[in-house]
Amino acid sequence: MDRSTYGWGGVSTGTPAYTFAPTSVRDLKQIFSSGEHKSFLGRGLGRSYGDCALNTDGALIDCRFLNRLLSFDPETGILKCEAGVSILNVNRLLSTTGWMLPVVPGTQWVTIGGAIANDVHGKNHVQEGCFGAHLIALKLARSNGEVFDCSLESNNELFAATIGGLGLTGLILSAKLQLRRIQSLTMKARRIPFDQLSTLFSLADEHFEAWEYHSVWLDPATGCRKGHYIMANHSQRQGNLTWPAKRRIRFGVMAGFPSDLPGRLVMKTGNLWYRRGIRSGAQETTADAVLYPLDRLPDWNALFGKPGFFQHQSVLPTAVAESALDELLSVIETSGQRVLLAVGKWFGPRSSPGLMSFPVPGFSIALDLANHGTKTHKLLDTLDGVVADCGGKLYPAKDARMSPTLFTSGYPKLEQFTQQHDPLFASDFWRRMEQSG
Amino acid sequence: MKRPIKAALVFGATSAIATAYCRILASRGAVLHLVGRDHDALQNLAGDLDLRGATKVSVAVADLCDTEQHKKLVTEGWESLGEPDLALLAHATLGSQSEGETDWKQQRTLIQTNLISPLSLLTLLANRFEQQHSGCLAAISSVAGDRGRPSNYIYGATKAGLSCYLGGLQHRLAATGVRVLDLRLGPVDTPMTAGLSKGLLWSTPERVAHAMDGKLARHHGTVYLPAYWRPIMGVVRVLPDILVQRLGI
Repeated sequence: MDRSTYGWGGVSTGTPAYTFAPTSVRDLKQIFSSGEHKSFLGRGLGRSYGDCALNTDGALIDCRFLNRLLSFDPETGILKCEAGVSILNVNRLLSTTGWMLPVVPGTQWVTIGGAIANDVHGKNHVQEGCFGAHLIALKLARSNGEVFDCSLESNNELFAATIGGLGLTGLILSAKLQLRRIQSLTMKARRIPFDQLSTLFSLADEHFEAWEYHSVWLDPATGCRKGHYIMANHSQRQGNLTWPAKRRIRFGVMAGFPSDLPGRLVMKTGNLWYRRGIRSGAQETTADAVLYPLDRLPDWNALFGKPGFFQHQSVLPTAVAESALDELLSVIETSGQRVLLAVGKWFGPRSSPGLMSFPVPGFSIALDLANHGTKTHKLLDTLDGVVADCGGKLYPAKDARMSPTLFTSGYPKLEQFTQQHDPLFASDFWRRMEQSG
Repeated sequence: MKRPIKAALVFGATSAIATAYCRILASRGAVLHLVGRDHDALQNLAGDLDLRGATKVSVAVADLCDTEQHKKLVTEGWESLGEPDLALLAHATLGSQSEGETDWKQQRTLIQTNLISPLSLLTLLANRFEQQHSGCLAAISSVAGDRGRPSNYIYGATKAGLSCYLGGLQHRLAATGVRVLDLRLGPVDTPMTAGLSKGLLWSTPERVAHAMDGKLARHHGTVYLPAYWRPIMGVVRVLPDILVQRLGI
């Protein structure tokens, strides 16, 4: 029987010695005190692309069933919930009250615990910062059975280490979050095609003030030199607050398929459709379409079958962003390999309380690449070189192969973080970083 | 007779399937009385159901293996709900087939949790509902009870016993207006099955709860959830012995 657990990209796998799904703190303490397990790691909905949520030969704590909302105050917009609650459920259940999460990643299938552990960012980072910037408090269980209430005021070192801490400081049990007010789920969006990278950067400067959400789609068929700049704002007029129930197309069946061809075809069609179908100029759209464009195909990763795929998400510091991006794209061009999907976002100056938070001010580019073995690994290593040279860093949530050196150079507060690390918590990612780091 | 479920008494409420079903009831403003083992988990669930629209949620903490407490628990349920429309039994453990084969103690624990405890509760609940002349009595059983198979016959035996008991109860109460449902579930992705690899036929607590909701409002008798398990188990029941042994299912 195959009990392996996969990263979202399908490249990393790891079979835990034991999988356990607690529904209470009591269950959890029992497992911690049993003394039977050499390491622990929490896992949510498994959207980390690489090995961040894998714990080979250790105990994997499936947090999906710690999924209860604890309290919500419609006056202040403060939500308390268990860590396994998904962003989808928060959206669905609370949007009608006129509140939503201020920062969301590109998919709703992420748990609150996962959003904290990776200190996720959204398309509105310039304005709102990271997920952790809106976190008021969290409850953390350590492997010695202790439970800590952490916030900026109490146990603040543990609080800072847990935000973006990749689940290594203990198991996040629950969180207290500040939501934001919305008038409706309608959004006003504007898309501007551009045909060279310099235009892209000047467009950004021009529109930062007036628009909240910014993202960039680069067209792989043009070597990612052309694309669309997409901006959006919440509508200020009162309107529909009910999240739409959309038909979703499922591909779970394809998970073991021997080839990644279906995935490459779907990506190609997607890019083509994007290139042709989109008008420029302001238009009314839904929050769903702006924030979670890929959620219509919930398990699209399965289309890449057994080979899987990589995503290389880096952040390039503002001052050198344009030249570094140009260099990344040139490297890919010379390699002869084709990017499946290229998406960009901007990070602003708002800092997160998290010690290991990914964003620094600059441009963040996510490049999806098919897995062609050594050839692809070589290309990714070269890309890493460009990122390191410009003072950038990679996002662990997306990584399956970065070197410990690049990790250490990108995360200067690593040493401070290590002091808060729960000695019995570990992941495949962490062991990989420790190997020669 | 179709009667919307407005007041429900749920045993093993923090189990994933019961929780998912309670959420459906809560969204319609039902009154709920939850019985479970863990105080904190029950309190959290009560808060969750309250936020989702339940009219009133009360909780009782108990180890359901302790049959001595059952009378008190049932009485409390009636006290807080008035006349419940539904009593649902959702507590069970899976145990380990391979360990159980050589460990009688483990088998006995499984029988205690999955069979003795629900039968004790069903006895009390059936009599209460009979006096009330209305209501729905449902318990979560399993397709594992449909045929003894080498992969899970210990768990299967407890569920076969439960299903047989529910069948008899259904006929006994048929004339009283009380409906009895034997909910035979296929494998579901829940904490109980955390260590197992999941295949194509697996379902989720939400999907099962949704299907259950359609059945609990008006059906009686044996219900397969999801419905595709009825034809599948129809085949499994008549498979020649030699095939069951060869397939090791």
